[in-house]
Amino acid sequence: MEIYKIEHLSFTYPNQDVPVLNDLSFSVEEGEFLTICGLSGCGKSTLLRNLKTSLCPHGKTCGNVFFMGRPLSDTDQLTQAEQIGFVMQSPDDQTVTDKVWHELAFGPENLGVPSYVIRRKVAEIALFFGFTNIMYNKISELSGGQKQLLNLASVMIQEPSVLILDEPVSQLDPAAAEEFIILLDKIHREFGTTVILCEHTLEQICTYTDRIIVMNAGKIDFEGTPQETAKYLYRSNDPLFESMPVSARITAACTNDRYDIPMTVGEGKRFLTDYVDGIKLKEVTHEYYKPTEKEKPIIKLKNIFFRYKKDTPDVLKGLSFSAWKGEITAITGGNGSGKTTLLKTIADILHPYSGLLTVGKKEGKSPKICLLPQDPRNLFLKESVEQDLLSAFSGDKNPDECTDAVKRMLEFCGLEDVKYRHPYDLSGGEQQKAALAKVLLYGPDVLLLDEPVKGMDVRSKSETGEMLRCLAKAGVCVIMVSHDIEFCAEYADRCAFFFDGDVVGTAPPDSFFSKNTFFTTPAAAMAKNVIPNAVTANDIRRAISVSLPDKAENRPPFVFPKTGMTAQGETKIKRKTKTYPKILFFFSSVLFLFYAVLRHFFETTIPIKKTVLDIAVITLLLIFLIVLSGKKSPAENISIRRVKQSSGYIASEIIFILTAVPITIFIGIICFGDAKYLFISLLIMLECTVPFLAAFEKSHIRTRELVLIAVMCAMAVTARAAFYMFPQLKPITAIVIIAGASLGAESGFLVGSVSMLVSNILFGQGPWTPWQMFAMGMTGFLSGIIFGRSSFPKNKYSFAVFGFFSALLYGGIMNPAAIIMSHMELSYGNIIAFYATGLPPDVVHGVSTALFLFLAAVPMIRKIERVKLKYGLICEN
Amino acid sequence: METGFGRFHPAAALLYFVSVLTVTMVIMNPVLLIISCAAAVLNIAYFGGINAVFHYLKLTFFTSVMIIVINPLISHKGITILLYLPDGNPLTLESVIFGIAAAVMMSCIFAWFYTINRVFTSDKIICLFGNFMPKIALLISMTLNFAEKFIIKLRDVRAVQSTIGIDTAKGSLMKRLKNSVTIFSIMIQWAMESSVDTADSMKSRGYGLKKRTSYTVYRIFPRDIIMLVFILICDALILTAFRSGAVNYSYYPSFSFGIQIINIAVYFIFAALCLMPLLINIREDGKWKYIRSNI
Repeated sequence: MEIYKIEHLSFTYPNQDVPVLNDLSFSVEEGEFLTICGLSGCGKSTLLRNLKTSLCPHGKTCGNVFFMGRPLSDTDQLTQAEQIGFVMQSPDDQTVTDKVWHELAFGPENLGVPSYVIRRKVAEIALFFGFTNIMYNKISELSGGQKQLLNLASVMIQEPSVLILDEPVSQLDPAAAEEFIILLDKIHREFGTTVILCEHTLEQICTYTDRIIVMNAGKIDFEGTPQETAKYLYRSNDPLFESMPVSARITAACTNDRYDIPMTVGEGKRFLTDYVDGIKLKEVTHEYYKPTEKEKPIIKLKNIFFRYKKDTPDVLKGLSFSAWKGEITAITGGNGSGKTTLLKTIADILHPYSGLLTVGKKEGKSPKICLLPQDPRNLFLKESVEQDLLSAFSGDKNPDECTDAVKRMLEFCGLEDVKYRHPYDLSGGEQQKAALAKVLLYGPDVLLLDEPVKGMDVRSKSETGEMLRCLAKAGVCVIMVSHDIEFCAEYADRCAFFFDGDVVGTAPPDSFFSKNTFFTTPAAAMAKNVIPNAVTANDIRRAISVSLPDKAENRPPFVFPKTGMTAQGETKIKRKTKTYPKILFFFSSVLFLFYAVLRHFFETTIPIKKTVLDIAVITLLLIFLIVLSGKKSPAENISIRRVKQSSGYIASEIIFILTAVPITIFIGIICFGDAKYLFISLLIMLECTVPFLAAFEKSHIRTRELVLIAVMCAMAVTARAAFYMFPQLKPITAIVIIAGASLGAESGFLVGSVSMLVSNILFGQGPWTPWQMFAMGMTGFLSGIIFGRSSFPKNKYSFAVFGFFSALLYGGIMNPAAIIMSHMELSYGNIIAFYATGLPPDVVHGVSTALFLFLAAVPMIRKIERVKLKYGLICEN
Repeated sequence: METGFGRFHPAAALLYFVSVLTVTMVIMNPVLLIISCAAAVLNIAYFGGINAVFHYLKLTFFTSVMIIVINPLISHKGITILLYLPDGNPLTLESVIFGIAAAVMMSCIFAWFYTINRVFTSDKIICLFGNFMPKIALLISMTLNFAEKFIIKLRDVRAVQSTIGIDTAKGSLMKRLKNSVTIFSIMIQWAMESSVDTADSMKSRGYGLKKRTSYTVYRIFPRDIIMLVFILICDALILTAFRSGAVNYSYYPSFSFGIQIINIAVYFIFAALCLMPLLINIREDGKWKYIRSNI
């Protein structure tokens, strides 16, 4: 029976003319293992998302999708959720909860399955996937491979009849990818689950899949078994052919339909042994760059020892390693063996506790070392690729020179077509190139790359390889760590193992891989004892005189950007800065300090002076505000779109608070006598917090909004737990204010109070937790109310001023809390004393919050707005 | 892995701590305070050893001293006047004693929170919320997941950015602040964009289609019921004694101290309540030792 039948499916994204999917028709049989392949950007992900209504992107759809004989649009959401399992690419982003058991239970919980059934299902799935030992582990502690298995397991727990996977193994290392695919194959064989998988490398899939669909630019090019696909791709000279297994790549050229195309290395080797019998082999030679004997290495590590903590084992153990200019060195090795640690040590991010790291001087200056991280998104800051590259230059450079350098760099990396796009809208390969471009603008002498080709399709891979060659030719020392040994064999000048904390076996790729037996490229394994010295598919093809695929287009040579940014405080160029906002902030904080001191001083003397002082301070502050808002060039106002209408509970929340609080006080006085402030005030804080939480519980909040709220909560927690601008100053208040302003008052309260509760799970709860939850919640709530008004100016000044006052408000709630917690008498003098002692830290808190908001509020809100707009979170009216 | 008292159902643990803290806070009877304080400190010693106790004493020392000093300076109630302060107000013995009692009470609460933080793991908090506020429970769980991811990510971003001159540890204050904002911008952009996948994954797994159930790893065993009943009985006895005025203790205008049978009974009941987790833990440890020696 057909489980899916797709008829003339077309799909166009909004604001685009060219359809991403163009008149697709195919069907999927029940129990089939179908692979859809194509280069990135061919529309395969869009196709998969069209197979489940809840994931279907916004856009215009034509044609029909039938699921189990019925149109998909008529199949209700519940059936779809149960029957169609979907696993996405990123192992990290798909997990929802914090523990493994909770993640497994998440799906059944959604479908209202009773607890005792969930217990049985979790047990079953944990046994099948081998999770019994990690059931109570935190998800953040799992490896990437384990996370992706968990994602598969938490989909499988709903017992779907069809499993859709969107490049599930592209982010995993080869060993984890293989484990994943084997398990997937087991599920497919043992339970008859239909599997639809899309992937741009066919290396690992070919032996398991029944059928392959080749997509190209939104159309289906070919459909057939792996064998037929290999023949087709070879004949049509498709770049995808290079993503077939090595054995198929070599033999497709020389079989002429006589034999079956072998898909495994073993079969390939038998074929090759037969084939070379009759023909004359060409000798395989390689040209690797080799520095002269005299040349000094640019990086030299000697006997380096490193460990992360005093009581953990060494990660680098007596490591010795050198690298020269103009050379590409590839370091391979097992997962988690410390390769990234090595790169970070070279980049001077981590510091060894023993050993010597020397860097060769270049024209008297120490060389610039840049690191391209595994995740290119760690580098992106601005809203378009071009702007992001421009941000690499500090302001003291000539703007023309900057744009010129950026233009050259875009050309070099082949990014001209996408320079106006948002970095996050690019494909994985393009993102990697954009990140490389940004790093190159700093003019590195040593370029460190961490898994540069992870998740790339074959075309991007070869482009990256060519780029690295250009760089090496221009005299850059390139050091990369990679699991992709074929890439290393193809492009590196030297390869090495990373094992047991040291770099071993450094040698040119040909001798390195042809000597290895177990850790080697598939091509080298095939060619062992048959074609000496051959380590890549191209080597073998060259040896047996088979045509090679066309090389990539010409690339302009790499020119060192002369205008690279001043690095890490090398030279400082003084710039004129607009100082007067800073002066105003300073002035206002000094004013407040004076105010606090004076007021305290005047406290017991003449009350009239106190009032005069109050009025004077308030007028001064008003003047300050007017000066700020009446600037000649008005600050840029940002527009914030409403996320949703308020839940309609605000009135009942306030009524509840207004009735519950007096009753509590009354009961407190009757029962305990009015001296028990601590207990009563705790109750009051709870009563003020609970209605907001209950309203959230009642509201029908959309999933994406819930996730946004959780992200903002987590941001605030991160701000408190790991982020410090200066010691003891944390931008948590600022984050809560931004959340309130961009997500609305009620969400603001929620973000404030939940982030306090959760960060106290990390820091330790105390009697202060309810006060903190309430005070921070109020901050977010007020921010939502004030910035929710369309008439209120929303620029960096208004955010800064609001931030200052809300930090004071937070202190205003927490200071009496301190009296109550210390159980002292609640008297006028007491309160004043605590406010006075609390004011200086509050003012510092206020100033830091104001400064943070002044710099960050507008750009951050713009980033949140982009997500709100892109993913349709905006309320229509 | 949770052991001893930590293996009880979160509801039992919650009731237990609420009872102990309420009695400690509401009845400021010196004997009860001392019992509570002793039990809390013993708990710290059990969980964290003698070093934890010292650390805790260091933390509470200054606050306690501050309360002891400030209270008699502000409060002038009481009849036993020791001396007159420079501003003409009297310093009374009662206010000094009350200050000490308040300081002890505050340190005592802090000490209990050490145990509470050990016992109330995130799983327990989520389980408690899950029963009556499943959405908040989910939100807490998601926040924990994201926060752990973000903290790891923040470390990475900071390391990478420091190689291209965006350093949060070096440079002038303004420079560091600006760099911090840059790093936070990168973080928020990444978090926002990757959250879209999370939302898709939730929707794909049927979130929001039906009323959610809340699964928890905690089940109610007979021992949880026994525990709940025990705590409730203790509470009821102490409350009765409190209502009858027997254990009430007033510091102002003058403090009084009398020993009655009912008082001693209440002290014993409260001591039993306070020491219970410790006894359960020690008993379990003993059992393990016994089992091992029998193997």
